[in-house]
Amino acid sequence: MDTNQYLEIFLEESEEHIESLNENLLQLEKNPEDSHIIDEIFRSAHTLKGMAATMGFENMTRLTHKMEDVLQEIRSNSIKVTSNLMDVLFKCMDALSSMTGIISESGNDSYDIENLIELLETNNSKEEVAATNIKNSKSLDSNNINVYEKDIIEKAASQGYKTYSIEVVIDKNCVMKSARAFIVFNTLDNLGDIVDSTPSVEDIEDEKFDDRFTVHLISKHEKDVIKSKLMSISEIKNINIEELLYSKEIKDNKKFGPTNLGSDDQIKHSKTNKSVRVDIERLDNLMNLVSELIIIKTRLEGIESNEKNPDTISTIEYLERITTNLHDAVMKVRMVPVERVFNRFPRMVRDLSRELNKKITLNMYGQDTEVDRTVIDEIGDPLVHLMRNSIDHGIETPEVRVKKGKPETGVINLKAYHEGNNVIIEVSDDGSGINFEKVKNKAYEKGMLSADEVEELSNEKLIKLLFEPGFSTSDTISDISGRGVGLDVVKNKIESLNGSIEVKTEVDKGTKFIIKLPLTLAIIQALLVMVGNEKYAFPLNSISEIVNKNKNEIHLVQGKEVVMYRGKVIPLIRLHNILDLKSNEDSDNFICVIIKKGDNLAACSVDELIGQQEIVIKPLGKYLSNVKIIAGATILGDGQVALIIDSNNLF
Amino acid sequence: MSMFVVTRLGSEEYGIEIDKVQSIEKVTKITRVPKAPSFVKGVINLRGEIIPVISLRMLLKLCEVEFDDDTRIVIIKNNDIVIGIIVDNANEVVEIHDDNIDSIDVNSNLYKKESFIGKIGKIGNRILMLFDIDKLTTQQEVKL
Repeated sequence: MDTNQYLEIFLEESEEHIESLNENLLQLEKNPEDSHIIDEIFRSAHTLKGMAATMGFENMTRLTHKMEDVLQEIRSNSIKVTSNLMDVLFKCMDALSSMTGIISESGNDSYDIENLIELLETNNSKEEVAATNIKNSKSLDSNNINVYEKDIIEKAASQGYKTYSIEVVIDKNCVMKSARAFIVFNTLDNLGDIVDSTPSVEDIEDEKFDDRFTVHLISKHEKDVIKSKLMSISEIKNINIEELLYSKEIKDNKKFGPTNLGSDDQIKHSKTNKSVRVDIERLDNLMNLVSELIIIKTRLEGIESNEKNPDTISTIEYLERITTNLHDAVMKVRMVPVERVFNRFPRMVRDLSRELNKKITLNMYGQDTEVDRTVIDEIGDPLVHLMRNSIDHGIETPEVRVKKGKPETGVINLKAYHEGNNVIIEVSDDGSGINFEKVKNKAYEKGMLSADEVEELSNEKLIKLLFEPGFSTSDTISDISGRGVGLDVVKNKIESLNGSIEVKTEVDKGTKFIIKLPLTLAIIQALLVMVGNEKYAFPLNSISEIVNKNKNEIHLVQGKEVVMYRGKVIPLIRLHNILDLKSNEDSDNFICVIIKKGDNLAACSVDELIGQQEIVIKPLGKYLSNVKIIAGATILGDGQVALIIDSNNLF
Repeated sequence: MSMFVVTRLGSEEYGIEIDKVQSIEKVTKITRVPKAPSFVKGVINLRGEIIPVISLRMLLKLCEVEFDDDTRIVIIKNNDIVIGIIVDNANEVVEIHDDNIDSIDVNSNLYKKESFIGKIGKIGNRILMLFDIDKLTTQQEVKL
């Protein structure tokens, strides 16, 4: 069978399973006795194995199979959950996710798994015990019969009917499993009454089963008759029929029945939330169309101001309301919870704290805070960096913490919440805080400042130093952080997203990084200006003020033009020069747009202000990616293109 | 057999593989992009998409001419890069048999080293210079 068309689905689903496995493994480490979690892990691993086998990825199948063996032993309590064992399992998860990566790139799963398999096998020394346990659990599964069914079966038996448990195995290569299952059900219906099926009929219809399902059938026919009827259906691999002797077995299992069913029900609930998978490209396309609509609406508004017909005006107002709502709705579709980024951290904290022999609890708040996909894709790396910083530099070792009179276990809080049109993400720890003396010494050592200068610096200025390229206060360079390529990269990234970062720190109390990001990067408020005879847009959030200046207010500092603004000397940027335009310096007064980049300000001279407008950012494309001062382009109401100035790259 | 869109610059004829051509447009308003290389004339709004346009004449170091009614922008799509190239006209599609396509002799002093021409096609006694699209769509001498 050509499996290529399923590859994408396979990859997507495996990623989901790996993610949920990771999550559940972390849960298991905290509650090693919780059988529900083990069941959930087991189920995910099993599904993963089934999918990998169907797609013909042997390494993946083997690895998940071995994992299943180990999990089975945990499930049967023959081995205990130790952190070493968890390490091995987590390594397997890493291997699995690398494998999906390799598969998506090259289409095969060539990945060295021998080491892992060996590790798993050493943990799994009692394989035989495990095997028998599988059998036990199977018979238990197949007899998940509730009281109501038991009643029916008893009645049926008294009238000479027999009850069978039929396990149907469908060929792995079968494309339409649910259709096959439907034929099986039809056939069985003719032979008797189906009282129960595992998984449920709904799930079977939705193809939510691996390659086999079990039904309970009440029938007068003999085993062989049923079997031969079923085997005549094509693509059925195997049929196992067992007669259920109700009296003994059912009573034995009655106590398991309801509890097991209960947990199954819960899981089904969580899986059947109504959603559709949509290709991101389609969403982008929809977004583009909405953007076009907004552009044309703006254009209509322009026409409207010339016309005085009340009918037109009210129609356009209505149109405006609809487009705004439509825009909001589409934006919401594109929103994803920050969970997508956050859920990698529990694992990271666990691994790093083990590596560094620190005790750390991670608390996450507001995982369901929603942010535009474009933002989500970008904030992962900066956050990883801040988290690593907190774990490595922030939180002290348990001994040091005890000496300081703090609890042994350090706490890292990761918070996300909305504030106006922004989303705020906070990373805080209760560690040692930023050591200003160290920062001062480093600044001096690196020759950034003289000894006198260093002494005079305020704490705020010192914090700023941390964001300078090549600055690291860590005494030792570790694998985790401290190479000095850190915070400046974080800052640049966040600023390139039109966001800002702030630090609050207190010695021995901890450090808090506060990141402020716009909800979306696709549509922004902008100020349109004229420079020469060209239109340009400034993102509104990079503008602090617009002022009028006179020619004689320009001063020269070391050959560079500066102006005074609220008592501060700030550089004057003549946009004409930067944009290669001829300047018209004949007028005495000119307009300055004061732009900000972090705490730095600069004045940009422009010829004319056009006004504030909501604009849709469109990329200039790869071909022009070298043009740094232009952040993108937008299409104005009249169809003309205006370029968006990237004020971060102006100075 | 391959098909090519024939474009003209003065008396020279150039061919572009037809599957790389997304559309052929009349000249619309071009917005200048500051700090871009000189042969990049700017960007245009093509039905909501922003597309960089380059002057083929400048790129090939020919003298520039005024745009007229025949001037066209050929939109080329190569992988994920979309650009428009300005040509004097584009109104013919030809089929050339593979036997009649020669690769150029790089050592010959006929061709410049920094050439965007990949192959030469022959139709009767017409000679068609065929673009190396990969070269054309990657920025060459971009310095800021």
